[in-house]
Amino acid sequence: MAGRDQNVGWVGATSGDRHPFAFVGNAKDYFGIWIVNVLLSIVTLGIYGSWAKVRNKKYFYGHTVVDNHNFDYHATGIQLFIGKLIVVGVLSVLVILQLVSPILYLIAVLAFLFVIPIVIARALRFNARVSSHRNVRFNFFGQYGDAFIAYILLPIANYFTLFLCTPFVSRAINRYAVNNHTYGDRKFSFDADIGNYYKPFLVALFSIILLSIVLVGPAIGGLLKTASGTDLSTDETALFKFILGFYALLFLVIVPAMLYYKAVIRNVIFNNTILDNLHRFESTVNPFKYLWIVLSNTIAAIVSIGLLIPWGRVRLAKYMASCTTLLAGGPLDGYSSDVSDTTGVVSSEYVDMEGIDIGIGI
Amino acid sequence: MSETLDIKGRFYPPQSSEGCDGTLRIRGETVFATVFDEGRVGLPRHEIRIEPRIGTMRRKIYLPNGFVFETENTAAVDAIDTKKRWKALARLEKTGWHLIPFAIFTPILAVGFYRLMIPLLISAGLFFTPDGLPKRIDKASLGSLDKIWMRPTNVDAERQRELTALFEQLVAARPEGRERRVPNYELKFRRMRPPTPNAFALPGGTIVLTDSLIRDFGDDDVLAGIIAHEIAHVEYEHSLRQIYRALGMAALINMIAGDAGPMLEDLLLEGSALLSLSFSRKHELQADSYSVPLMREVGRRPDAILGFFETLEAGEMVLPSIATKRREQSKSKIEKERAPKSEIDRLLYENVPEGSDPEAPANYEPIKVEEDDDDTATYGGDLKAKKAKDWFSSHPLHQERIENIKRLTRGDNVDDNP
Repeated sequence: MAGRDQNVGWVGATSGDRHPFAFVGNAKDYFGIWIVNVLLSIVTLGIYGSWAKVRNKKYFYGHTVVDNHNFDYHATGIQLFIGKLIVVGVLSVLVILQLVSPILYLIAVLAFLFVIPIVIARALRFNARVSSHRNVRFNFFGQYGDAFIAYILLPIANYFTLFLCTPFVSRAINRYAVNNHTYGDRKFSFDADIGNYYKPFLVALFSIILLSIVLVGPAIGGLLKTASGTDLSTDETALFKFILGFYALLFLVIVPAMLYYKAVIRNVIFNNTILDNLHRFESTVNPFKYLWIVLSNTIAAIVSIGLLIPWGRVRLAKYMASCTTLLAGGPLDGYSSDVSDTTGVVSSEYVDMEGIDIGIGI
Repeated sequence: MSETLDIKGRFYPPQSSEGCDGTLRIRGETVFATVFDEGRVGLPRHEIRIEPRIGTMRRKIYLPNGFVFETENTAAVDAIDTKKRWKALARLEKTGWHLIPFAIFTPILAVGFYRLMIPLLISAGLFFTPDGLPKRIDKASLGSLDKIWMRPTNVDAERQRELTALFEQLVAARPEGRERRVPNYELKFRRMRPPTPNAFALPGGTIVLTDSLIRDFGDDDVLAGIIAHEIAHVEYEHSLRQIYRALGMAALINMIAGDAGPMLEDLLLEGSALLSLSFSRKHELQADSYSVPLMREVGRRPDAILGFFETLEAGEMVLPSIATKRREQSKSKIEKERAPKSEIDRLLYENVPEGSDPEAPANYEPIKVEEDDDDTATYGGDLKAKKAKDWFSSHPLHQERIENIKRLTRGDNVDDNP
């Protein structure tokens, strides 16, 4: 920790400019985009979904502003659509293999473990290269080996330590994702003391343990009591209690604890990232406020049969942006892309994978 | 024609963040880029590429010389944009009264899509399933099960022959022509570990009876009822339907609510898992209904299966130790229930709807099994009202199944007691 601060200590001295991030979209405008997305996706039996995703991302990137310039997203619907076809094709083959031959399936899954890092590296590269700020594209140079360690090897090792090494896995993934990103031709760099990870991890872990005992203990107790009794007519109730307890545990304890961890780690990533050895970032997300926003958004979405989803998304984006600041260590306009061409940058071979989140959501 | 339109904005050189303020002047078929203090370039208008509008985001215009022009004047860019499709999309997305019907119809459409598309996806999946696939699934699943949970049977050869004969009789008696694919029926005996009375059907026609089941339910009528029930699962391709349904649901959720946001997405996926439980409950009822005429066909008591229900539910429990314990309890309980004034008899003979005379010959209703795959198919209106907890059970409450069989066998009971 001390060593790192020494290296970059001079940054604070030269920096003076704080450039807060802001999300300038609003629920009213986004609602139209969102409802048209859903409507057209349904009407086209899902094909429009890829174009919808582009509209969605473009809206959120385009209305996130720092230093009076917005981000932009340049992928096209057809690129995402082809990527989706490939993913669906591969998954279908896996499902069929699972049904037909367990041995072939096992081999395929093992092979898949070695393919996943390629897919992740490519997806990160794709996403970086179609993202820009101020006419300069991001880029990603992550290699296969590092991805294999961060996304496959360490998570497997983590199993054998009963998940107690999760912070090390998180840090490896964050290092891989941030350190290999560039803005134009300038590098991002990130490192953080493991203590930054263990603190929220242990808080989350102990909350899960404690709250499980308080919340779900009675339900499990009820089940065991019924099972040892003689009256079978109450069995349905016991099963009901058991399942209810399981979902209570999942949505009232485990998911919130994971969101808490995610929010704190987001701060850790931003607060320890430097761009071009010059600019730093600051993230001040309050994990409890984040939890509250996510929870109330979810409830609002359910109560409104989904119609308040766009409101919730804008609300969350506004909050996250308002917690983020760029601490400029020098002029911000001297950057240039090394991504050579604006339209032919991405070929359709790049696979856009759902659910790959590098954790630097803006 | 030569109307002039000036748009103020900022020019960026190719791949650079160092922008310069300037004006883009459109006159006829030419675009003039004027960078302050640096002169003017004329470019052919058809070579510029205009980014589609989205919300109030700044618009970008890509010039043929690699420069990018960025402006906040989205309205002016709309005026020169000739791409009709994107403009129409932006008009749809714009806030306005037309969004109100959208907001009303989209949820309705989403539900309709779910109700319509899931059965459609299942039918398509069944249609495209190669004929040899179900049998291969049987082989693969049986192979895995033999390694993990099942051991060779201890049932003696004589009993095996008897049951196989019974099985073949049932297979031969089943109504014809339901399926495009003719299943290759086979009866297998296995010992389950831990011992659990259970019977299950694999999609290709392999039906497995466990040793405990055969031991605990010596009555051939009961075993025939169970086999008939499993045959129904094969005939209706229930396992394939459940596989395709799970795939379809995952695709659908991803499509409609792909970016629903943290937590909500988890909630939707869990919700769909719960819905599939109700889907398989429906299959159980359907299989029961199918078994009744088949049992009559071979001259066995169609309501014999009733005695098995409670144990079947116990066997479905996730916790093996509890399931075993419950099995012991239910065994003794079922024995008690064989007495005339048992719970089942009460349900069978006393709980007759008002206005119908239990002694009068019931008008025999041909069995109509509903084939649609939506979750609202009902088996008799009086069963429609379900308690919330019913949704959590993969096998319907035995009462619901008992009432279903009772309804279908009412005529038989009268015939048996002339």
